[in-house]
Amino acid sequence: MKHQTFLWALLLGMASGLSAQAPGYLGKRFFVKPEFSSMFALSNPTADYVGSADPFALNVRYGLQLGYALSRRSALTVEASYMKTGMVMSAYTPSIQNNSSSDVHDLLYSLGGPEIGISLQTYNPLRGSIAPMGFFTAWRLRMAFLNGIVQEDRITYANGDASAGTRPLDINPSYNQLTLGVELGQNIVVADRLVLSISAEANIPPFNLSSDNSNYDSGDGQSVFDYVAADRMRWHSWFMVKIGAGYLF
Amino acid sequence: MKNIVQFITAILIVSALPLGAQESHQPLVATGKIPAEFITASKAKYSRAIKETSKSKKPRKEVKARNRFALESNFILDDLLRSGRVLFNDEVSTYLGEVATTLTTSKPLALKTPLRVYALRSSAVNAFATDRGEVFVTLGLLAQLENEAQLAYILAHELTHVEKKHALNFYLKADKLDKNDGRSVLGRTSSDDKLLEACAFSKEQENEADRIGLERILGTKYRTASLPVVFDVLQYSSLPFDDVPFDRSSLESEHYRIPDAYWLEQVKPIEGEADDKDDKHHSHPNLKSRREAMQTVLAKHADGPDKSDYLVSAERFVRVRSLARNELPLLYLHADRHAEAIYSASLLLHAHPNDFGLKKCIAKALYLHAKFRNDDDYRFDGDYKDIEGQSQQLFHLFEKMPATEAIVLALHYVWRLHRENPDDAELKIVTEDLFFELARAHDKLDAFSNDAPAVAEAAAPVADTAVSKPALSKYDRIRQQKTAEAAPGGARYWSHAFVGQLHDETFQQYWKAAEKRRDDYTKAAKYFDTPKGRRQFKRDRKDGLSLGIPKIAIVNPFYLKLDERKDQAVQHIETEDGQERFRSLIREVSAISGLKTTLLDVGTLKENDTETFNDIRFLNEWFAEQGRHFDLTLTPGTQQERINAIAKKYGTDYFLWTGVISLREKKGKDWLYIPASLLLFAPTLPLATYLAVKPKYEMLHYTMLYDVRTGRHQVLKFETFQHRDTDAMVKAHLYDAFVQIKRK
Repeated sequence: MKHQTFLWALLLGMASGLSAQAPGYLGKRFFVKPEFSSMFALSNPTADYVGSADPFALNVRYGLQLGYALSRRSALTVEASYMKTGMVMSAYTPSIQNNSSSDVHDLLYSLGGPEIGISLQTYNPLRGSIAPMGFFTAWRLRMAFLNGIVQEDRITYANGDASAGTRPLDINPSYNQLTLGVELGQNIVVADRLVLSISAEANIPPFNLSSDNSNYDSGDGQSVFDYVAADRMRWHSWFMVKIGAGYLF
Repeated sequence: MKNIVQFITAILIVSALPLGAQESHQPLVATGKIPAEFITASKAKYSRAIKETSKSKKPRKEVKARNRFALESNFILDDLLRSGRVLFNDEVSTYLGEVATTLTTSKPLALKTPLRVYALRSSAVNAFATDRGEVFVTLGLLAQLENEAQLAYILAHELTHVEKKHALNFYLKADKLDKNDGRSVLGRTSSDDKLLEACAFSKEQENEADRIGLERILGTKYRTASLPVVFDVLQYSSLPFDDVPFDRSSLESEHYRIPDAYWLEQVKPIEGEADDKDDKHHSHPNLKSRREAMQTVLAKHADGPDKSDYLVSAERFVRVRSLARNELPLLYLHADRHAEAIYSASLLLHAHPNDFGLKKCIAKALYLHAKFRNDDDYRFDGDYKDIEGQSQQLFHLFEKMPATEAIVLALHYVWRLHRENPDDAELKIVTEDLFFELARAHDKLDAFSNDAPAVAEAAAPVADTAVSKPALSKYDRIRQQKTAEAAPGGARYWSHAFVGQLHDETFQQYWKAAEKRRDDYTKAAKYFDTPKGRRQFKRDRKDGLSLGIPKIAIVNPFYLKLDERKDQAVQHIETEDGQERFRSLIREVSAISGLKTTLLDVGTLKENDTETFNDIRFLNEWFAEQGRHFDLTLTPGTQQERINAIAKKYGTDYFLWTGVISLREKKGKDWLYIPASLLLFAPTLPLATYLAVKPKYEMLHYTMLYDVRTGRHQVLKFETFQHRDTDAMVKAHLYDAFVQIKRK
């Protein structure tokens, strides 16, 4: 929330000093654009856990982008999105019946949550693009606040005896991640108001803010969760195709 | 007898022109109402033509070919009509029409539309006809003719082309040759055989036009004795309308004498085009065969006493020919054919020695020659050795005279004319610019002498010790050498171009202003050559300009649609629709951007807008000249005074030329995206498929703003995009340009 307030203040502050610039498309500098990103899951689990059996399973992200053309060459955008994916991991809890052995939990998580991002789109007027219309390159920082919900817990009991139950998993399923992304795309203006876009986006997760997964220990559920979540995010968003349809004003 | 009277009358009329008056030929312009065919959409004419063709019972293949002909011919000819090069309702075209009427009175043409005859502003010696019933006669041809009978014969020849639909028939023949189906004998014909057959067909048509044209003349009261001279006109068409030694003294003065080395002792004799050349690969028979065919017929028809060289008017023929000849220097000047402009103007000065316009034409030609000569990229086009006749002198002079001396030559002439006519604004601009060029060539005026050159003394013989006279020292000999160089015709002859002028107040004012301009120019050029300057240049280009101009005029917005997948790349109908659309986008974007614009477009004119039609013509000519002079430092147009008046009329000095060329390209090897994506990275298959099937477009958009008074230009846009010319794309770039013009 604080991030968003700051970004809006920044945008409004910039707007006042920009009358000397050539405004956006026919003077319309603002645009709002719902977007849908997707890419094949490539045998990774999805939010619906279609799994590797379905080659056409998709990873998705739903987003809303607000943008402002700073000049002929650039536009600043803020985005809010929601992503959801599946995650499979194994964790261990000590067996209730025998402390020296462990129950194995094969877990399917639904990992999802809101994201916020900020990006700077650059347009090259010499190639016909004038912000916010035409081909652009965008650099993006996106912060994901994810939460894992266990969808399925298949337990393999240490002694094969399920009567005593199993210990609870000591895993905090929150996961936050900051990614750096680059996007190449095109905004097409239709009827002077509508903007259609198509782009391809690649994301690199440089930071994992919620925990330190450098000491990945397969016996530590939390450590495994963090590691697998990071890995899952990497594969979920590393390359996506995005389409959007919005409005210029 | 009647002929002699008319001839003498013609001579007397020509002689009676007041020689003492300050005459000045004004460029020929269209007058009256614009004929409907100039402003009717080409699409409408094409629709009418294909309706006519559909009524005929021709085979389907021929109908298609006729429709293709109708498409190409209507659109191309209409481009010519709207170009401003075709005159209407002017004295010349009106006279041509009346001569054509004498030919059709007793033997009317079987045409569906009335015949129209127009003068075409071109120095080429040519006449041509269209199947739509138009005949065009160039001013270059009119300038060369001796009498009305010769003109009538040329018109009769062209009328035959119209009546027999030669253009269409030739097109159908060539189309058939091109598209032969392989099963016929032609299918095995080489391209050279096809060319020969096409040329043979064309020659048959020309012979028919000669023959029937001559029959038509024989059916009138025109005298035929001078008709064979028409073929002389064609044979010597590359020459000026007269061949008189060029008076070099017109470029010289008492102390300024151009060295003899720059002049030819003997010019190349006139040979003209060979009249018996092998015409197998030519569309026209050789001149010898045409002349003989005519003479064979004329031998059987003697001219009776009732025949005359003039049936309309001898006076008007002479007047029209004079108008044509007077237009030639302007046409040559506009085309940057400087030697020809000067020579033709000098020919006319024999009859009109006080014509200020002709002298100004010479001044401008010398000026432009000096500008081009001093441009680093200039290359003299052609070889003076190929020029025949007296005009060769000027070509030789221009080729031999070094660049810096050309500036002196020009300024010497221009300065004298400017002093005689100090109020002429055009000469003032030319004078200023020549001083600027002089300042660039010479750091100081010290190179020039204000005093008359001393006469060189003959070197004294080396003294014998027994003789009392002293020998010349080394320094005496050096002084003698320098005196000889500076003498008229010597190596430094040019240093005496401004004798008695150098201390003149006005001369000094011009020189000081030129020095300042030179220094500013050098500073600016140096700055933009530094890394900082280059960065600023790049930044300005990317960030855009802020010109602070509230009002502009937009001249003939241009739109062209091309499709390289088709045989005929130019898509005429889509082009015309695109032009209409482009105009409406300009109006829309003007309103949004708040920039006041006046749209000057031939496509929007009504019949009473002849003045605007002429304005557009002059503006486009000015723009074409600026395009050729692009690399030169700011150069005024050859009709700058008229342009300044047009600027005043529309309330702005700023005129914009803008255009879009849209090209639909062939797909080529784009299908390879699909296998490449499957091999390299399968998830990109949807994108690869999109790229493989997506139509490929390219769009060129240019927007160039000129201050027409100074010639300063701002190229706001000249870019090629791999994009279709959608309304959004065009509007975005127009808006971007307009905002850059308007904002401060």
